[in-house]
Amino acid sequence: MKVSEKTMRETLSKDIQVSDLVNQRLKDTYEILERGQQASGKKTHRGRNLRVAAAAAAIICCGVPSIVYASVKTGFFEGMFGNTTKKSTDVIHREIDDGKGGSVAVDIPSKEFVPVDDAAAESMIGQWVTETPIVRKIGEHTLTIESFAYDKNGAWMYFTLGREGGVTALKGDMDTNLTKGAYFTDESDFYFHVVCSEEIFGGDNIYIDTEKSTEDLLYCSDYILWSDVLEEGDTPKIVIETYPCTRGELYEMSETEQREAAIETETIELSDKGPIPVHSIDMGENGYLEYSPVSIGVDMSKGMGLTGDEIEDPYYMKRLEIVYKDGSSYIVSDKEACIENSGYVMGAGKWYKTAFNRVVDTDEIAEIIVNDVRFPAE
Amino acid sequence: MDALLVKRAQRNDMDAFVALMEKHKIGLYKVAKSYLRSEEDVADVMQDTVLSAYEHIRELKNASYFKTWLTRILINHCKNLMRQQKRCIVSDEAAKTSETVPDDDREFYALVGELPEDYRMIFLLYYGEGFHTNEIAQIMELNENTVKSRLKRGREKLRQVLCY
Repeated sequence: MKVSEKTMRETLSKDIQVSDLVNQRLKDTYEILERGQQASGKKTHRGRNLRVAAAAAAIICCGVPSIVYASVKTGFFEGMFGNTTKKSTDVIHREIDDGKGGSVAVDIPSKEFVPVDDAAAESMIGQWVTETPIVRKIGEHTLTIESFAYDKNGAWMYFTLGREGGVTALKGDMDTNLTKGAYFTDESDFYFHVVCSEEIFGGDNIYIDTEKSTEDLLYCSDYILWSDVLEEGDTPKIVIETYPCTRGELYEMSETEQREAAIETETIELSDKGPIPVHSIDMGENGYLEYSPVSIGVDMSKGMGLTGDEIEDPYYMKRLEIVYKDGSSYIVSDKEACIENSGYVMGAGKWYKTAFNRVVDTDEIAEIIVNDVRFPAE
Repeated sequence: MDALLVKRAQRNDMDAFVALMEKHKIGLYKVAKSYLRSEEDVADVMQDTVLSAYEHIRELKNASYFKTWLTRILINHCKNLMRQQKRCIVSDEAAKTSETVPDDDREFYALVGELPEDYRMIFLLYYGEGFHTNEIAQIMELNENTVKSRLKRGREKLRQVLCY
């Protein structure tokens, strides 16, 4: 086909006819949204229930299967495991301060985010995701834990933190998303962390959705991994500490002054749903691991050829890959290729734990490869 | 004009929201048709895009960025659907004319089908929808230099069939 650049521009820019099917679908959608506004009685109503209504109406009115899946946990699935507002990144080369007046070159691994299928996620983990938000006013900030889920390896907490005039307690941006996650500032007059018991705390990485977030309201995806093995009866809780001053001022106090400071502590149970079940692959001394659709824990003392301190050193996790039955794979981590497609990783004793940044269909796993060790899934 | 409608839509003016969607409907339709074969799939992603836009329009900080933002939502929905259905863009199929294609539009579909797969969307957004390279970079989550080089390479590839 011969065409000039001018003709190409003219042809591609011309209007084309939208099909009757699409026009009708759009018309139905507008009507549903309009009814949703009216039914709520207030013009400010938005959100998840409209998607439920639209999905139902699409099936009833149009009589065709619709991929519009309605879930009250859509925010959780998308925030924790999707890619609508998360941007995949290539390896980033950076020079950072080495603390000695010079700089050192570091490579920030590439990170890939993929779309999440709400329906599939709901079927795989939905019954263990909380639906009732936990809301706490902490000083001038409002913490809303929208949804929470956990398993033996870790937990996933989707929350917002708001303050009129701008959030000052938590600092996070694209930079922290690439590195160690959002952090509490010295200006904050509170702090919270997730625990499972007095001995088991959650190490975490808070990812800020920079597209959805505004100065007054941060949307946060918190990937949490447990510091130790959960015992029967261990359940996740959030511990909120509220201070009479800022954290910066608290740190400048003496230990005695800190002990005497009027710190208020509130502990809140995070879930009544129980843990997401994990599968295990036990190859005896040749290897052992446990995984769920959203996490994996590998016993590095078995089958990896490691001894002594090496077992507890995350450095020795070189490659972690999940291979599916159709031949495709999810490369969770590859140190040589500088890939880290996870929400958070942590070495906890002999356990190397990873919180996935996507939902994995465990029924479709053929094998899991850890370094050179292959774990066939049943 | 978009900016005014966006501001009104952000204040829950449904008429303004519908006007915005209708204004951009054809552009979105062209992009969706370049990804998806099935008209029902196109209807699904268009509906999903409207719903997503409705849910999130208040989070759009810069009203002049609306068309870029909306197009990106659509493309993400197209890609999501394709992943779910594990379909690939079938360039030859997209080019085939059929009795359901209006006569006036055959040239458009034929040209879209001719464009190499790697460059199709960039060409459509650049030549068809008038986006700048930095906007295309944001829509397709690419580096702007990548967009520019693909435009250049795409033109070079087509040089044998382009006449000036």
